[in-house]
Amino acid sequence: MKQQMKKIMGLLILIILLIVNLNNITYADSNDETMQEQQEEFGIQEFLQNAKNYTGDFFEDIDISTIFNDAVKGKIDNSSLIKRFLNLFASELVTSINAIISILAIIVIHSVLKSISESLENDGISKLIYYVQYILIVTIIMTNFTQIIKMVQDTCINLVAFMNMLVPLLITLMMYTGSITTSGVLEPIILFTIHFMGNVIQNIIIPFVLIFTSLIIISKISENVQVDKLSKFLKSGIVWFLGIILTIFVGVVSLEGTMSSSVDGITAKTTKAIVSSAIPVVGKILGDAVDTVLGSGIVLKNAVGLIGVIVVIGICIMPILKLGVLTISYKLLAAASQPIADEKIVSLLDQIGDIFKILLAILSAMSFMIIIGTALVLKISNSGMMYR
Amino acid sequence: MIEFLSSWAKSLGVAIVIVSILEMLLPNNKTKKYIRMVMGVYIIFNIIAPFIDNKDLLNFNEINLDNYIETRK
Repeated sequence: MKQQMKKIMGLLILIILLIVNLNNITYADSNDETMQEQQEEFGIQEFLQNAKNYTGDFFEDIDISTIFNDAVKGKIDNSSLIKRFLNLFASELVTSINAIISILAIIVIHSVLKSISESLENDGISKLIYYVQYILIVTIIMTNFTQIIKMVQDTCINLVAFMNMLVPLLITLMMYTGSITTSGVLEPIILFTIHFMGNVIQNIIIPFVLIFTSLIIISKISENVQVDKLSKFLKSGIVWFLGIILTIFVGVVSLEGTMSSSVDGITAKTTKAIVSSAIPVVGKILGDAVDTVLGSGIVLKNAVGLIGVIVVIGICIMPILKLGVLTISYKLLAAASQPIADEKIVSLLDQIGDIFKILLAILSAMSFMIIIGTALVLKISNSGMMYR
Repeated sequence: MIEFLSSWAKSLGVAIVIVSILEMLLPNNKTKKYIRMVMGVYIIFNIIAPFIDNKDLLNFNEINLDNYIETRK
C-alpha cells in the first residue's frame, strides 16, 4: 500500500511540475503579444496614419509602419531613406538652375547694352537700361522668394501640429514605463517652447525678414541712397536671438531631465523591492512580470521616438534642401557675374543669398530643437530605468 | 507692434524710391549738391519720425503682456 501511495504521490508531483513548466513556456513567448496589446492600447497605429499625412510626398514609397516594426525588433535600416534624400537633392538642384540661368542671361544682355550705350555719352539712357535690368532681376527673385516664404510658414505650422501629436504620446509612454516625475517636469517645457518658437517665427521673425529684404532691394536702386546697415543690424540680431533660444532650451531640458530621472529611478527600485518582499508568495513573480511589461514598454517608447524623429526630418528636409540649394546658387551667381555686371547687382545677389541663409538657419534651428529635444527625452527616461 | 514696423518700412520704401527717381532727373546745376542734401534729410526724417510720434507705444514700463498671451479657460 505504501508503495502504491508513493507511486501516486510521485505521479501527482510529476504532473504538477509539468503544468507549471508549460505555463512558463507560454509566458516567455508572450513578449510579442504584450507589445501588440500595448500598441493597440496607445493608439499607435492611428498615430502612424496621422503622421503620414504630415510628411506629404517625402515618404511616398517608404512605409512608416515597416520602419516602426523593424525598430521594435531592434533593426534600423537607413539605406532607403538616404537614397530618397539624394534623389530629392538632385531634383532641387535641377529646378534652381532654371532661375539662375535666366538671371545670368539678363546680366549678360545688360552688360552688352551698357558698353554700347556708353559710347553714346548719354547719361540718361544708361541709367534707364540699368533700371530695366534691375526690375527684371528683382521680378525673378521675388517669384522665388514668395514661394519660399510660404513654404517656410507651412513647414512651421506642420512642425508645431506634429509635435502636438507626438509629445502627448511620448509622455504617456514615459509615464507608463515609470518616469513619472520626469514626464511631469518635461511635458510643459517642451510643449511651451515648441509653440513659442513656432509663434515667434511666424509672427515676428518672418515679418522682419520681409522688412529687411525690401530694404535691401530698395537700397540698390541708386548708388547714393543706401540703407544697408539697417538690414545688416537686423540680420545679426535675428541670428543671435535664435542661438540664445536654442541654448536655453537644450540647457533647461537636459538639467531638469537629469535631476528628475534619478528621482524616478530610485522610486521605481524602491517600489519593486517593497512589492517583492511584502507580498508573500507571488511577490517575486509579480516583480519580474512588471519588469517584463515595463521593458517592452520602453522598447515601444524608443520606437515611437525614432519614428517621431524620422517624420520630423521628413517634414523639414524638403524646405531645408531647397533653401540650401538656392543659397549656394545665388552666392555662386554673385561670384560668377562679378567681372561683367554692375556692382550693385553683384551686391544685391550676394545679400539675397544671405537672406536665404538666414531662412535656412531659422528652419534648421527649429528642427534641431525638436530632434534634440526628442532624443534627450528618450535618453533621460532610459537612464531612469538604468537603476534596475 | 508688427503693424507699426511694417507701416514704417512701407513709408521708408516709398520715400527712398521717390528720392532715387528724383535724383535721376536732377539737372546738372550748381545747386545739385544742396538738393541732394535736402533729400538725404528727408530720408532720415522718414526713418526716425514714426518712432518719435508713437513714443507712448514704446513705453517699456507698462508693457501689457496680456495682449500677446492667450489664456485657456
